[in-house]
Amino acid sequence: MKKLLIILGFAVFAVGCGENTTESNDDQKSEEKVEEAKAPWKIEDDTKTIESTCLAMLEAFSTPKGEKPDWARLNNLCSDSAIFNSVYADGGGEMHQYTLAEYEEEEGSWYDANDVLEEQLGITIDRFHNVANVFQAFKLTYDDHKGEAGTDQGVLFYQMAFVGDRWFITNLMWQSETGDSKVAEFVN
Amino acid sequence: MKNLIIITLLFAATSVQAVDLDSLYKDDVSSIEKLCDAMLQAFSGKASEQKDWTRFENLFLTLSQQINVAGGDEPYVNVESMAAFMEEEKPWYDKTDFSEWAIKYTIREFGNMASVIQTFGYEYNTPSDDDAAIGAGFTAFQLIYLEERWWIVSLIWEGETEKNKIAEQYMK
Repeated sequence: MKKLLIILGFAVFAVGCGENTTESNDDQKSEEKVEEAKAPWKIEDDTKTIESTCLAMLEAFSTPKGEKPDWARLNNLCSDSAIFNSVYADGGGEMHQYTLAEYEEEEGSWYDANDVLEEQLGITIDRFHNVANVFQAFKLTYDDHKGEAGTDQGVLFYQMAFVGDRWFITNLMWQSETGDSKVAEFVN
Repeated sequence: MKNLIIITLLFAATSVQAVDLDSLYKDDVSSIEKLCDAMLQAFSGKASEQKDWTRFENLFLTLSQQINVAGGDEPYVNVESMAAFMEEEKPWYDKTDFSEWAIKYTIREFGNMASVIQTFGYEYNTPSDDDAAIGAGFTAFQLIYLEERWWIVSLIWEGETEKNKIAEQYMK
């Protein structure tokens, strides 16, 4: 029985070799793809596409309580001059503007003190050549394990530029859902 | 006491100017499309005419940035505050017959925010430099509604080239 299997195995190998080489190249390519999929994540991967850049933004803020957001990863996503604009509907409206460093200083401790999970609910992209405008619906789940926990949904507007071989976030603006504005229509 | 009076007068002068600007350009900031149109209109005009830089400035928040992606297939980014943009570009606009107009708007609103794609056409002639051109471009605006008016928070734009044409969905 063992001998038969060896013969069959050899026959299959021989038939495979007799066919055109395209198939074996395809096999090799698919093996390479599997290897690529297994390869460890690299920071360069974040900025390859518009979608990966915007997803990386949410992932970098998603950390368990006691861990800091990945500020180096966030810094890599943004141009040096990027401004973070946080908009509130209170009263006639209110907006806070930060650089990323200022945002870390002002808001970093809140992320450190909470389990934070930011998820994308939908994304809409307008692009012309090296410029992109992105509309990302998100859901935030947080828990400080001291009685403050909840969820929030909202929308992030990104302005982005493709320079060199990667995308940069040049400006970011976000607001949470209100009674009048729901993210539902932007979920896809 | 003298200091107090100076401060009071300064505050009063600032308030009067603010009230004047608010009423003078009230229509510009009353809707998303009017705001974005006003930006194009403010520096359109004959070389012999004074461009309306006060009207232009009134459209923006103090920290607003304008970001231009240039260079075609070897792109680079030019980021400027609006104050720097005006200081740098004013001499050129003031010696140029310049006309810019909106072609199409794609607008998405959420809460107090608006995201706007504006495609635009332009035509200019600078006789002193023997330079003239006609073309189109793509601008993405981020806007905010605060204090009962619209403001430009940020804009990023790129011009169309022979090789890189704007998709029809943004033009028609």
